Amino acid sequence: MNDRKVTRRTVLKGAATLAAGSLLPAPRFSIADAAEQAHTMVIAAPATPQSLDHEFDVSLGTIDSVGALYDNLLEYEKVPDAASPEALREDISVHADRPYNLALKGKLAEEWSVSKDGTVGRFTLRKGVKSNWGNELTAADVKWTWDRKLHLTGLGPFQAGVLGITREDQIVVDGRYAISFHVPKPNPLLLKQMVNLSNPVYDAAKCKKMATADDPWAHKFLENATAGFGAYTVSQLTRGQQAVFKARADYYRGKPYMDTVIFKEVPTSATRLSLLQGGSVDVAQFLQPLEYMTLAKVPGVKIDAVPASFATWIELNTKFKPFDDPRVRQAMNFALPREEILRTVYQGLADKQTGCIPKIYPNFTDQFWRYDTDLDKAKALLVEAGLKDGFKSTLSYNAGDPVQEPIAIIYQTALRKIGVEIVLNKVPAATFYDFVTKREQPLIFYVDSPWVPDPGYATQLYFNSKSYVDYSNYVNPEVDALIKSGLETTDPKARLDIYTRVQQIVMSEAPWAFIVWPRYVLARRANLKGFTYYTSNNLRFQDFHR
Amino acid sequence: MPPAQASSSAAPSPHAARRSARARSEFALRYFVQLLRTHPGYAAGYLIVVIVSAVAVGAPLVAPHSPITADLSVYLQPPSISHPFGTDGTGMDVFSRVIFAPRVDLVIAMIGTVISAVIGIAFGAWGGYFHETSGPRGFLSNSMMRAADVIQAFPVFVFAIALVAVIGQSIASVVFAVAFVNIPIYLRLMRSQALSIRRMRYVEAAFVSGMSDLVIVRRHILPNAIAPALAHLSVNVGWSILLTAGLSFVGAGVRAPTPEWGSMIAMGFPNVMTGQWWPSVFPGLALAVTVYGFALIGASIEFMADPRRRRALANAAAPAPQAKS
Repeated sequence: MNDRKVTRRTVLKGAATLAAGSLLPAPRFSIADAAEQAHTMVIAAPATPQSLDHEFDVSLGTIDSVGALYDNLLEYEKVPDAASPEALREDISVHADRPYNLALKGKLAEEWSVSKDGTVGRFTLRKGVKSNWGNELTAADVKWTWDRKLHLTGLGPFQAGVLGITREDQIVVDGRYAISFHVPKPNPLLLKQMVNLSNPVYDAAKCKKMATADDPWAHKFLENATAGFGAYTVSQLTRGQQAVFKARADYYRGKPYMDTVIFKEVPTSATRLSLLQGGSVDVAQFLQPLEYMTLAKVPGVKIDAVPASFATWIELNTKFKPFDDPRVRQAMNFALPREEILRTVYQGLADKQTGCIPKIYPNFTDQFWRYDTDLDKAKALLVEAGLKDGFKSTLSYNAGDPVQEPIAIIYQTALRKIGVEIVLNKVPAATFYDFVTKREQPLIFYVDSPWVPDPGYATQLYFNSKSYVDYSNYVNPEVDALIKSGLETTDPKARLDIYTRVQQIVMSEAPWAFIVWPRYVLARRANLKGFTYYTSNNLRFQDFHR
Repeated sequence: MPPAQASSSAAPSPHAARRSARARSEFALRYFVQLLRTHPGYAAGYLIVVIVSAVAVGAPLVAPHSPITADLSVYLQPPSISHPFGTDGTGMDVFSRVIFAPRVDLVIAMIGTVISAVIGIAFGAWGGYFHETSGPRGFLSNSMMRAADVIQAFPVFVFAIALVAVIGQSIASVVFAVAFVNIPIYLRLMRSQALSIRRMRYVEAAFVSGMSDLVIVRRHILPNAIAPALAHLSVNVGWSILLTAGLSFVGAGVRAPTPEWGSMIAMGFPNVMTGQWWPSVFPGLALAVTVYGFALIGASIEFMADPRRRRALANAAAPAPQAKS
């Protein structure tokens, strides 16, 4: 006799699974199909890629697609993740014993070097690599890719700009398979940028064919199709429904294990949870912390939670009173109950943000951390700043991110104890980033990750007063100068000193209310192996096998 | 005959008038008691609304915890003696929030409905009276109806969201949105009544006797046309509560952590799938019961507005004739 109890939860879960299952293609049951299914990976994602041209789109679906469709010149070697033994991660640490202090491997490039003065990077490309259109990889492809960055107005100018590349003649074709990058000053990012997901190589021959007079850089073509040297090609893209990726048999590293990857749009996280629970999908992306904890108890499901480059913080807009006073910003940090937020909102799937760059990045230090929750200190700082009776302000948060509202409520309660009254302003997800980029809110949540694992890249993004991502309007000429000098030297010791000082100043002046570093969490079927964490926080389908 | 036409040959003495008023009140009370006795569902509706209103007024005295203070030492606790409805993801007491919520929901719904009724009734009566007249007043009357058509062409909920998005997120915005989307209902109800009443002889007589349009509308049109609109009020309050909760559910209503049923359901919704059902289910139940209560009151008013059923009940409620000995 079956003694399994029918409870409200089982009924609810069953109903949700049935409803969610109806979104997917009908299941197939033959043995041959079962073998085929072993080589098919189904991902339940919040959204399909909006565009396949990464130049103008950094949405979650897009970056997962770019990682599968395109390859870069270089990659980092992989090491097991300490927190999640079944997972691998990029080895981004400083290796004094390795060339350029980096653990790099060739991808589309088989050899590379940087000149002694640090201003020229030379790459020799792998021969015989074919694009999904059958064109062979040559230096002309790399040249066209970087020229494209300089001519478009998306991510390209920034990506080229951090290297000091502003003109086409700085990228020189030295032979059919040889190319060099000429930067004005020694640049520690020269090799790291060749790993960056934002800098994949396009099939220039195909793109030029598809270009038109109105669209000379083939943006319209690349939005919906692919012309790259990656492991997959896209066979279907129906926005709002699904994208289907097919493994390339002629991929230069061998055909990936997963023949087909179905990237299915399932907007509700509870539905994604049910689909994984019911075995209808292999991966459920971006669930809520409590949902991950629920899945961790489900047989046949595995959770990998690895330290990541993400951070969640509140921008303390230094152009707004009273946040122009560092003592007030420090008080805001002392009042934040991080440990409790970690325990409850994040269910332990995050780490306390004890610094201003990701803790997994080289040169990170938490020696300047001093903001453990202390309401007395917070009050004393407010008194010192002449705000004995507290003040009122508004905290804006993203309606599309379910963890922000509870954090905002918890913070509101904590701040009330030191006399600070904040009104919570829930901003629709569609307009939230407008709010952030306009920098007109006194307090606003932000979640981001600097993809290049480098302290110079991270601090340049968030704390350089001229950066377009300096959303707290933070200005400190010393910090600006230090960041610049750190990006013009390749000496590891000098860089360590420079970025230690930058972190010291920023942590003291606190332009952010530091909250947490959420972990990158992957909920998957237990038989799906090969998960690898990248600092660009995306999946690469070619890593997976059963 | 409309009340304005009722007349008597001799004025009653003050004493007789008082006696008559008392008799009328007694009869209305008997009639109402008889209605509730014969229709216990209606009684339940009145009881629900009275209880919810009382709870809203007395919430600060009844609530065991603050409805807006997070307490992470007790987050997501299931129902218990100290937290009868459990706690939500930030440790706020769900019971306290549920009983504070009608202060927002009822107030928004009632103010919104009353504003819409006042505006809709006034303009509806005016528009109906001046319908078919030439000149600017007739033009305005028609324009008003076309404007109402435009408003009603949009899905109500989407229109309300758009209004709140334009005005900004606050309780006043929600009141405005609720009032705005409801105005055409009263406008149409009142106008259709006014259209038929304006052709009545007593209205024509008033006009011939030299009464101004304003006086005619106020004294003859409004009192005689208002009953259907008033009957609709109760149903509309329930609907407005749903609209308010719906707006908050999608994030366009009140600001967190204001205790409000729709916002509570939305906040607790992600927890239902992970087994913590109480932050969502209790406010959902409170919302459902309250709206049901208003719907029952609306049904009772509809009953009373039906002359045939009203007469039957009145006969039953009338005092039995004294047996002659």
